[in-house]
Amino acid sequence: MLRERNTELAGATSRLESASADEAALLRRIAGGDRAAFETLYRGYFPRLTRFLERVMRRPQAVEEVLNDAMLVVWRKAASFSGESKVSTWIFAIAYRKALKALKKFDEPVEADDDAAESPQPGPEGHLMQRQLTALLWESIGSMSAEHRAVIELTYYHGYAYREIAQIMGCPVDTVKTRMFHARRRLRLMLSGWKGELQ
Amino acid sequence: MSGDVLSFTKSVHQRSQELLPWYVNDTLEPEEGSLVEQHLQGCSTCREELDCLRALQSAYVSSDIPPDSEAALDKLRARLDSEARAPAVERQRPAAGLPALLARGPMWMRLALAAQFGVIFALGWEVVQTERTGFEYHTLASGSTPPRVAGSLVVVFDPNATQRQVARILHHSGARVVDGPTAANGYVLALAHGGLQAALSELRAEPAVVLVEPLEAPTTP
Repeated sequence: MLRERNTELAGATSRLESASADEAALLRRIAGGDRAAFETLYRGYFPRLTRFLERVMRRPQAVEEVLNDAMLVVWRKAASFSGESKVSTWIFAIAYRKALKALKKFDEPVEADDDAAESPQPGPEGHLMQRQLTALLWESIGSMSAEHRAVIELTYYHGYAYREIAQIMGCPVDTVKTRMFHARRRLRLMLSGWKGELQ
Repeated sequence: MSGDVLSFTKSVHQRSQELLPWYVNDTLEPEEGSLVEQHLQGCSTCREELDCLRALQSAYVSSDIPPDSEAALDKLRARLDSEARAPAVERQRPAAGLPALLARGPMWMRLALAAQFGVIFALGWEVVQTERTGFEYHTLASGSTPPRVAGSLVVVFDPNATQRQVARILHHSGARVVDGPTAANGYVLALAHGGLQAALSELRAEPAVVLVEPLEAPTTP
């Protein structure tokens, strides 16, 4: 089983490396002032960054501006990308710093919005449990700090390794693990409660 | 780094617990994956935790709304365009020679450089004419050809170059400023010890020098 997983992992790693090389080439063109290359990179990152910023900031109205601020930094600083990390790690780190800066401007200890904790919509019965779980999940995640939400989002949705998350967030790997540990504890409590309700 | 040091003090169970979220998203290093996999075989607590984390991940990934990038990109395009019209906000770019700038720079930059070059050329022409007049005067008065005093050239520094950088460049090339700045920020330099070609090469190699051109034709009588 481990061998199969490692083979799959090797395939995925090779695809990621190839994507990363393409992005590095795009970034070199951007450093030379190539707007078309920049727009290609922008379109490629827009869905991922929107999702990440929405989850971390929980301020849907501010996401677009923060995302554009981050991409403007990418445009201006493309020449300073050293290649020591992956392009995606570099871009996410810029977006994360911009998100924290914007949150400071709101001057809030980032609490959950009522809007962000989506309530389950009526739907086919088979989807109802999933929807309930999702709603509870957002509620629980919404009560965490931006840092905890970022670790969860980067791990579960964007599929980053903990070392990459440490690079993005500019913190030691142990801090990433500790944040994840606390976040998991809360999510686990939520999940146990949900299971208890079902039984 | 500190994580690796601390990990020696942790039990396999603790390390496995810690690594489970990244076991679920398949990003562990092979040796970490093996450690977790082996531990899972004998630890029901970790297996239970693993099921829980997988359920969470599946719930987490399921709610995704693909956003529309074009409306947002339009807004950023407007910012990039206004930035391009206001060259005071400089984009960080690698050092580039004039031909590269002319070939790939945005239109405003090409026009600005062309205009700058025109001003420098006009200024240079004026200096050459003045020098020629002086030269002819001395020739007539002395009846012999005096040595050419020094090479003259026009240089344009990067607007972001610091005073310290400019001073270092001048010192290195053995040049001194004899005129400028022009409207286009060009400076006329005189070389203390000749060596025009060497000075040109040296100045052209400086990232903080945008443009450098000799003012004189070779001095063959």
